[in-house]
Amino acid sequence: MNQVVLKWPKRLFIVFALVTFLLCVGFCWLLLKPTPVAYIDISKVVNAYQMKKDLEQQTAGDLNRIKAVTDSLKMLKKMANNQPSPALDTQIMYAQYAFKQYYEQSNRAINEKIWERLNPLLETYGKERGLQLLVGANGAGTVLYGDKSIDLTEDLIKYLNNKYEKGN
Amino acid sequence: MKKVTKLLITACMLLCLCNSCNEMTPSSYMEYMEDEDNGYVKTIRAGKWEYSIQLAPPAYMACRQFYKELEQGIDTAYQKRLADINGYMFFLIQLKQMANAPASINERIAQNAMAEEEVMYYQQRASQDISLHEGGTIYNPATYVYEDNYGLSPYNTIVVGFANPCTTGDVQLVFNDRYTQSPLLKIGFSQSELLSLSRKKVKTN
Repeated sequence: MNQVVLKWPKRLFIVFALVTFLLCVGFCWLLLKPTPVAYIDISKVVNAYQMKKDLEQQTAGDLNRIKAVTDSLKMLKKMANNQPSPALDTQIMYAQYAFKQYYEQSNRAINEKIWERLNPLLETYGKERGLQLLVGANGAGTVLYGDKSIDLTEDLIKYLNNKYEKGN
Repeated sequence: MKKVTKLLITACMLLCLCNSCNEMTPSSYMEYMEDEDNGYVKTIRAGKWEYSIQLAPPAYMACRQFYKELEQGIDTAYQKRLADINGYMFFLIQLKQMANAPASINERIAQNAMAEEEVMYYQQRASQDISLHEGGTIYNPATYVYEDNYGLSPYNTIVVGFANPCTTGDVQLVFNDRYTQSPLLKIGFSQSELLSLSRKKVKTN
């Protein structure tokens, strides 16, 4: 039985070499590690956000009711063979105006509510994924080129919808 | 035969060990339920408002009320309360304003005027805006209390309870807060979460 007995200086040398090797590996890993920067397609994220869909569905019901009133008034005018009727015309005008106003207001409100909810979630998402920067591409030239590997749009959509439905 | 006996003893010991893991003292049970990491407290931030929603099973509610007695070894009141509210599912909704206190006097006056409106809404109408969804079934609140802290604490609490909800699937609490205009505040609990919670027991005499 031949046992290799290492003397202390030799052992120390091996330990020193191992530590140096590990330090080198760590340093290389730090150098080669991808920068924690990612980008997302904002419009895609907002449109796929379930809360937006739900809110739009709620608003659509109200809009349909206003539209039904406008359509009924138009039908009345048609039944009267399009004869001039200032009262009916004013009513139609009011209904159309109400539709337009409600549509604009609800769109603004939906946008506001969505961003109220998205902003803190985006912050949490960035922190959880260890990102230093999350760029929002909106198709207007904010991001001219981005590698697909740092496109987190789909991942973010999943994250946001899960947060919205379950709260976790 | 000996082997079978040994196996049975080991199985019994393991079973006892598992049971003891699920049995908790009143204070540790409450701590467990209130710890956000365990998944029974979830937070939603909507604008300057923060909603912290906690699932509170009957055992938790009774424990909160009688934990001092339980720690002294008296469990009569606890058991009675538990029997009263058994079958209900409660949620504690804490509403907290994130923004700093208003700086100017005008802002404070405006806020005081709004405080009345706030209390009116949460005391009288908010219960109609809360519902529990399970599969295709929608449950409306059976009990509802709004605890106004009169500005003494940074949050006010809503306690809402649903009678005999079916908990065979995932449940989702939906709150459309009309006062803060925060629609569709949703919190979901999976069937596995509910099942693991039902296994947790409060240690009594």
